[in-house]
Formats: sequence, C-alpha cells, structure tokens
Amino acid sequence: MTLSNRKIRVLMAKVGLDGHDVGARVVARGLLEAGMEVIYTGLRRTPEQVARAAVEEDVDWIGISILSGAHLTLLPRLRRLLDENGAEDIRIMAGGIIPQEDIPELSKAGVSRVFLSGTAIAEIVDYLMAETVHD
Amino acid sequence: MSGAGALDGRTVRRLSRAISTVEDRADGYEEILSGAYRAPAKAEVIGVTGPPGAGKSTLVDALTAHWAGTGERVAVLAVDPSSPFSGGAVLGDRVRMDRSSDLPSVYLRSISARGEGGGLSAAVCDIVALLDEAEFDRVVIETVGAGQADIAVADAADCTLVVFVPGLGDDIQAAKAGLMEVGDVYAVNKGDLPGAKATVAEINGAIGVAYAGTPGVNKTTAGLITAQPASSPGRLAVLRRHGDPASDSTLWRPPVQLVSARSGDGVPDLAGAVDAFLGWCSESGRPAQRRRSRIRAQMLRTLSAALIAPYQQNAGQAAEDLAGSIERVLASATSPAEAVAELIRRGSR
Amino acid sequence: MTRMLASRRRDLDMEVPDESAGQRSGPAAELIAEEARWRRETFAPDAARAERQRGFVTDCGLEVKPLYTPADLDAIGFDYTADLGFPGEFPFTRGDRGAMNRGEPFVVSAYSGFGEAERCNQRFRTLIDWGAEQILVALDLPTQCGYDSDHAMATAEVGQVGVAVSSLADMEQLFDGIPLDSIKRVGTLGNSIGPIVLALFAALGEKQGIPWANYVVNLQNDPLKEYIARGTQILPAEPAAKLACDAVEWCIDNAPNWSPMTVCVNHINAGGAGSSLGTAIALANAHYYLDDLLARGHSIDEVAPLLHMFADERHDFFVSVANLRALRRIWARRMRERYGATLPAAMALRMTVYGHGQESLQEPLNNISRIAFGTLAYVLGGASYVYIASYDEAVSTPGEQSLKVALRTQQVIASEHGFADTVDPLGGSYYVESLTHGVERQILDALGMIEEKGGALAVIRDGIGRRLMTEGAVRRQKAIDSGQRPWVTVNQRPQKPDVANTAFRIDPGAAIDQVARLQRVRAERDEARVSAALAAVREATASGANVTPSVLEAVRAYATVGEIVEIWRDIFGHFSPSTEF
Repeated sequence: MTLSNRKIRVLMAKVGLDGHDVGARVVARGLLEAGMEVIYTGLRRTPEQVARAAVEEDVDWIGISILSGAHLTLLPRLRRLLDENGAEDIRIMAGGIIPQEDIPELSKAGVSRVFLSGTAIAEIVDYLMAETVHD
Repeated sequence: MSGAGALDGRTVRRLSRAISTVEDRADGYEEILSGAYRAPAKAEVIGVTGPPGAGKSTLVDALTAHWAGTGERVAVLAVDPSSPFSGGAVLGDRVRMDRSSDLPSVYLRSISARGEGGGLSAAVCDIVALLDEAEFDRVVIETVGAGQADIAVADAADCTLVVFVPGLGDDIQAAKAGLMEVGDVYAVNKGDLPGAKATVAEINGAIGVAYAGTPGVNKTTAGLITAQPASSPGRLAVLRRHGDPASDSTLWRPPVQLVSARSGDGVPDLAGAVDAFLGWCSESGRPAQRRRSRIRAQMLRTLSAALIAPYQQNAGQAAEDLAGSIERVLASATSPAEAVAELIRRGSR
Repeated sequence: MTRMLASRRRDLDMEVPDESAGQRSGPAAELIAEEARWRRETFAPDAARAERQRGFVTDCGLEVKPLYTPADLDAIGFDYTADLGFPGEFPFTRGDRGAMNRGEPFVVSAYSGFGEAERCNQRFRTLIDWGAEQILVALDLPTQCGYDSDHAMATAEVGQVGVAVSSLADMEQLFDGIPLDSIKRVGTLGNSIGPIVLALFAALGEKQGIPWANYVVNLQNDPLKEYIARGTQILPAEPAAKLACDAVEWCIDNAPNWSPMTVCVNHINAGGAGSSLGTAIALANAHYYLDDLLARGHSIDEVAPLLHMFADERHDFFVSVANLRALRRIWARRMRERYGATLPAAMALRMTVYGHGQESLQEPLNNISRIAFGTLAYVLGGASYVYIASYDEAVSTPGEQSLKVALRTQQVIASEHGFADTVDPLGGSYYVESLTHGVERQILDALGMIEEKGGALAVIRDGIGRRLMTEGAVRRQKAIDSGQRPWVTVNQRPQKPDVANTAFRIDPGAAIDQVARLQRVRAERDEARVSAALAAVREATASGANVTPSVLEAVRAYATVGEIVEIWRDIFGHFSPSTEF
C-alpha cells in the first residue's frame, strides 16, 4: 500500500568567489517548474560546504555554476569530498564558463555532465529526468 | 570545535537517506519508522513561526549556533512552500544559515511543504522521530511563514516561538490574529530598528488581555484570575497549554524578547526564555501532553493518507469504485457525501 | 515638418493617445487616417505573407509598430527644443558635449587583466601599442572581494578572472614602463574596495612622480549593484555605500579631474532586469550616493561631474540608442530640477559602455559582427568611453588575437563608414524618438516605484531587485528556448558548440609568483609604519570619518588590500544575503 512520491532533489551551488548567479537562478526556476526540489546554497561556498550540504539534503544532483575559471580545481575536489562521505551516488553537473576542451578532464574527475551556456532548460530537465535513479 | 554532539559523515548520510525515504513514502519507510518510533523521544522540538520578512531564518541560525555552542546536538528543519502547479520547490533557507551550518553538531535539512496547507510537510513528525533516534538534543522547525497556516507548527512543537518584527504595519495585525494564540515565547527581531520597543509593548499588551501575572512562571493566586470567560476555544487552548488557575499551581505567561538575530544581541536571553518554558512544562507535567497531541496529529494525518491512498491509484477495486461513484454523482443519482459513505461502508481495497 | 518642431508645452505625463482617437484635427488626423489606410491596403496583404511569427516586442517590453511616421511624434507631444535641444546643452539628449565624436572621438578602452602583475604588464603594453587609450584593470576575484592572494578564500582563484593586486608593489609592477599620464584614463572596478583602489592609483602616481592633476583615474566604485547583480559585496550595503562615497569625496578636494564613480546599469540588465528597469535601479543607486555626498555639505555642482554611468542594452540596437539618449535627458532634468545643478558638467551625463551582442558558443567568430553592431549602437547613442567584448569572452579570458579584433572593431567604428561624422545621426527618426520617449517613460515609472518602496536600500533589503531580475532572466530564457527571440546558430539554424581548443590559459606559475611577491612585501616593509597606518584606518572607520586619507597612508606603507578590508569586516560585519530567489 505504498504511495511513493519520489522527488528529484538538486542542490544548486556557487563555489568560489564568483558572484554571478543569474544562470543558477534561471536553472533553479526551470527545475522547480518541472516539479523538482531545488536547494540553493547562496554565494561563495567552499567545496567542503557544498559536499556537506549535499549529504545533509540527500540530493540526487549537485548543480555547480562556475564562471571564474577555477573549475578544474574545485569540481574534482568536490567529487572527492562526496566520495569520502559515502556519497558516491550524488552526481555533479556543471554549467557556466567552461572551455569545451576541459570537459574530458572533468568527466574523468567524476563530473557527470557539463552544460554550456545557451543550453535550453528543457534539455537539462530531460537529462535529469532520464538519468536520476532512485534505488 | 567538535564536542560531544559532533556528527560523523556516515551517520549523516544514513540519516539523510532515511529522511528522504520517509518524506517520499518510498519502499521501506514503514520499517524505518517502526525503528524510529521505538527510540526514546528525547529531543526538545522548537517551532519557529512568524510573518514573512521577520527574519526567521537568521534567528534560527543564531539560536542554533547558540545551542550548539552549549554542547547540544541540534537539527534544523527549514520548511519552504512548494509550487501549487508543479509540486516543485526552491528551498533557500541555507543561504541564511552562515553561523550554524558549518558547526559539527548541527544538522540542517530543507523541507518542501509538498502542498500541505498547514505550512508543515506531512512527514515532519516522522522526521522528528528519526532525529530522536539519531540522538539529537533539539530540533528547530522553521515554518514557511505563511501567516495563520503556520499555527500547525504548534501541534508539532514542544515550544512555539513566534517572531515579529517592527514596521510590518497592517501585516502584523493580520498575522497576529492567528499567531497570538500559539506562541509560548514571542520575539521581536531586528530590535535595532526604530519602533522595536513599541512593538514589544504592543505584543505585551495583547498578551495582557488573556494572561495575568508577569512574563514567565507565575504562582497561582486568587488575584491572577482574569476576567476572560473560559468558554472561547482559544481561551481553553491557552488554559490547557499555559496553566489553568483553577487546577494548576503555576501558570506560564509568554514573555516577549527583544532580539537582533543579525548582531546576536538578545539571542542568549531568548534561548533562556525558551528553556524556561520547557522547564516549566516539565515541572508541571506537560511534555507528555504535548507529545500526545503531536502524535495524535500525526496519526490523523497518517490515517487520512492511508485511507485515501487506494483511491488515488490508477487501477484496482478502490479506484473502480471511486470512478463508479463519480459517474453516479455526475448523473445526479447521489451526492458526494452519500457516495463516500457508501465507499467507506464497502471498505474497498 | 515645421508643425512638429513648433514649440509646444511638453507634458511628461501625457498618455500616448489611441490611434483611433478622433479628437485630432488637421494634418495629424489626415496622417493617422492615411496610415490606417496603408496598413489595410498595402501593409497587411504583404505582412500576411512575410511577417514572422514572433511578436515584435523589445527585450525591455516595448511593442514595436511596423512603421513610424510624424503622427507618432505628434502622439508623444514631441517638442524639438524641449526634448532634444542641441548637443552639449540642456537637456543633453543629443550628446553630453558639443562636438561629440567630431571633436575628440569616444575613448577606445580596454578592460584587461590576468595572472600576476609582471605578465599582465606585458599585455597592457601590447594593448597600448594597438591603440588602447584607457586601461581598466580587471582584478581577480580575491582582490575584488578583499582577500590577499595567500588567503584561504583565494584558493584556485588568484589571477583567474583578472590580475591579483594585494599591495602597491603589485601596482608598481603592473604599470612598470607605463607612466599614468601616457594614456587618457586608467582605473579599475573596485566596487567593494573603492577607497583602496583609489589610494593605490594615487600612491602609484606619487611613485611615478606624476601629479594627480596630470592623469585621470576612473573607478566603477558602485557597491550597491553588487548586492543584486554582480556579487562581490563584502560589507552590509549601507557602510559599503558610505565607503564608496568617501572615495568620491576625497576626489572633490584632491583630484576633481578624476572619475571616481561609475553607476552601473550593465550588470543589473545582464542579470535579468531589462535595460529600462535596470536603468531605474541604477538611477536609484546614483541618487543614494548623491544624497550621501550632499549631506556631507558638498554642492551638486561639485559632486555630479565626478559621477558617470555605465549604460546597458544588448538585445536591441535601437533601444540601445534610445536608452542612452533618454538617460542623458533624465539625468539632466533630475540634476537641475531635484538638486538645483547650474553647471553644464553637473547635468551632462557621460557614459561608459561595454559593447556586447547576444554572443554564442556556436560558431563564435559570428560574435565579431554581433559585438560590432552592439558597439555601434552605443556610439550612435553618444557613449564617451567604449569598451568592447571579445568574441571568445563567453568561453574564457580573452586571448591576444580576440582582444586585437575587439580594439580594431572600435577603431573601425571611430573612423570608417562615416559613423562618427555627425552628431546624434539618428536624432529625429520617428522610430528612435518614439523609443526614446517610451524608454524614458519606462525608466521614470520604475524609478517612481522604487522611490515609493524606499529607494536603493529597499531594493536590496526587501529582495525587490533580485525578484524582478529573476523573473526577467526566466522570461529571457523562455524566449530563447521557445525560439520567440531568434538567435542564429542557437535556435535558428542550430549548431553544436564548436569552441576551438584555444582557450586562454592562466600560467599556473602566476599564482605562485604572486604569493611570493606578497610575502616578500610583508617581509621587507616597515612594520611599525604599517601598524600605525592600519590603526589610523581603524580609527577613521570606527569614527565615521572619511577613510580615504588613512587608507592612502596605509597603502603607501605597503599595507595589503586584505589587511585593510579585514578592519572593515571587523567593524561593520559581513553582508547578509537575501534569500529572495
């Protein structure tokens, strides 16, 4: 007699000092309209803070918006922190200003998907719907 | 920094997953709760409510940091509204939790109201049970701040803290109507704003209409009996919660604390007032009563969800019966009330 | 046409009459009837075949008619003398200066910076060699947020989006071989650290032996918009605005030829507000700063010439022209009517712009033409200080090749095609004047709403700004996702992003060299002098006095940016973000 209503939960975070969060806010609104629960952390979070918040909130995804060029340092560190806390299944997607040529390295470091600017919100929603696995 | 209350990553991970399972009513949630409700209920549950813009998140942050600083293990459940259209939500309370969210003995969880009108998710009481099991000393529930709907938190909390702020004008009047009946402690936040003291006086005045004595614990004497008739439902609720001069030896009069969550001024005093209330409750034998009412509310919620569930499925006997009833109402052959009585009588599954 | 030019009392609040309104008589009525006939007989049959699907509405929400005629000017009560006047004269609609680009053309400017000072110095020399007349130093985020390069919060960000500057030693290196009087203007943003960057440029002039009167420092120094749009805020908004005004006040007495505050529309519009609402919010911010400075006892004629604005409209060419013209008119009227300004310099608004188009990651070379058109609109609208995006800016810190194309684009606009040969060439266009009027109305309405709600601080405190911006950003995204706003290679003839492997890389050694220089400075400086200077900064900050003189002394003693900001954080506390989404 279980009536399950599993929601996709996504943590949207800004790491580092970059304060441009309009992209993160637009994506958050789009995910809300698709029925997801979005937890927003605010600006200037460290990878440690983001990893902790992701575990506490038991999210399926972390969406990182990054425009400051620090992605090759901060994203792999976030992945490592998640794994260390037994949260290997929390997946990372990233958006913002990320050179295409960095994507293979980010993939290798455990970033599931990079959305380049100009991506339609529907594409992000479809991706999350298709990729989220609730055990 | 890490004291007795510190949490380790794996524990947090397990707890967080359990909360999701319970919130989602996903497979296995009954087993999880069956364990949780068998753990001793130890956490003091503090409900924090008040009109939008009162600075609830910042105050919850300050109080949480204060309690964690005294060695307690503190959980915060921050409830935000969900979209009535999509069911989704953007939960932004973490943005304001700068002082407490990094502390090792604090656990912070954002909760979507998931359509519940009362401003509390249906699962909140179950989540409190999980936090009891994880040996939290205190659970702070921050409500959405949607005015009268927020009084639901009073059912769930051991102590309800109502937050006001100077300068809300007419809004405060409207909000007060519901909130003035649920507060065990009142706070006027942004105490550095002009008009803060006047707001304190105003709330004290409103309390004075229903309460005698001085803020805090009062010994019952003949002089303390107010002229208020004991017949109104609000009055009866107050007598139950804060003491009846006819039967109790002490009474509680809700204090009004001036506080500035931003600067931290007044936060220890406010925490002290909350603890004074909890202390009085415990001395006057009220905690059991509070928990009873919380469990009653959760039982009713669970009962109604369980009764409705089969009818919400897309297939099965119940769904067929419901569809048949709908047709009969459409055909002007019966009324919804009669049809439902019939459904219950048949007890279809 | 003389009928249109006839002087008529202008009523700002006049409604645009319905086209079918029958009260008009004479030529206007005839024209309206003629236009209706044209729409019916000639336009409609043609449009039925050709008119595209999308609604013709500008990004800022103005509907665009298929055709504009003298009747449209008549409908808005257009009055040449009152609405336009002449360039360099009230109300300055046609230009802040008399000769505009026929005299001294707009200043070809470059916003640049990366890594650490030594490497960045080479880039500056190259830019000047190519013809950059103004250098605005792009600082890295740790510096902008008040952290020294060796602070934990600076991890992975030193030199990333700009050059790291922790002390005067970095500035000396940055401008090695570039005397400050050898270019027209020099400066940086420094929104949250205004008095510090001002002091760094003042102390650098002393080091180079150049009097303050002989060079011009331009700062953005507009902290209020950071809270809603750009995100480098450090302190609560009120003390941050006070410190910014300290920098302006210091210039009144010491360097009145400098340009210490640029009030920005740019980031507010880009963040979603739209150009009209963004302009209104920026004007509310400008009023806040002006009121602060006037309350200190200065006159508007002293203060206003030190401020200018950073206008922005990047979606619509003609709205861009209209926005700049309307903003100059609003500014002039407000300075004169609200504050009693008498000097032309206090009423003539100079404007900075940053040429953008709707840049895409797909086939990024197309961005060159997009950016050129966007920049051209600003020049035709009468901008004074022109920056320009590089075609690869959407993907990374621009490389030399794309910077060169950007500078050359400005030079082409300044000298070819006759773009700069007459003043306000679009003035009098039925469409542009109608848009200028429409944009002006939108700005004034929004400004009225903001002032009613309590002005600039209320926009930040009550989350109004962020709420409006999020709504606008979501609206823009939906317009693109749905194809309603056409975007070539994105939703029209869509292509895959094809950014070549040319992203400019910050040399990883830069951060190491920067931290080494910082530590050398700390080791070699006169600690007693630094301590005394920092104590003076603390005292001035706590007492409410102008902090700039004490900051200047601290900077001269090689106190660091982080050390000074730490004092401010200690006294004022951190900003508290709005939870408004």
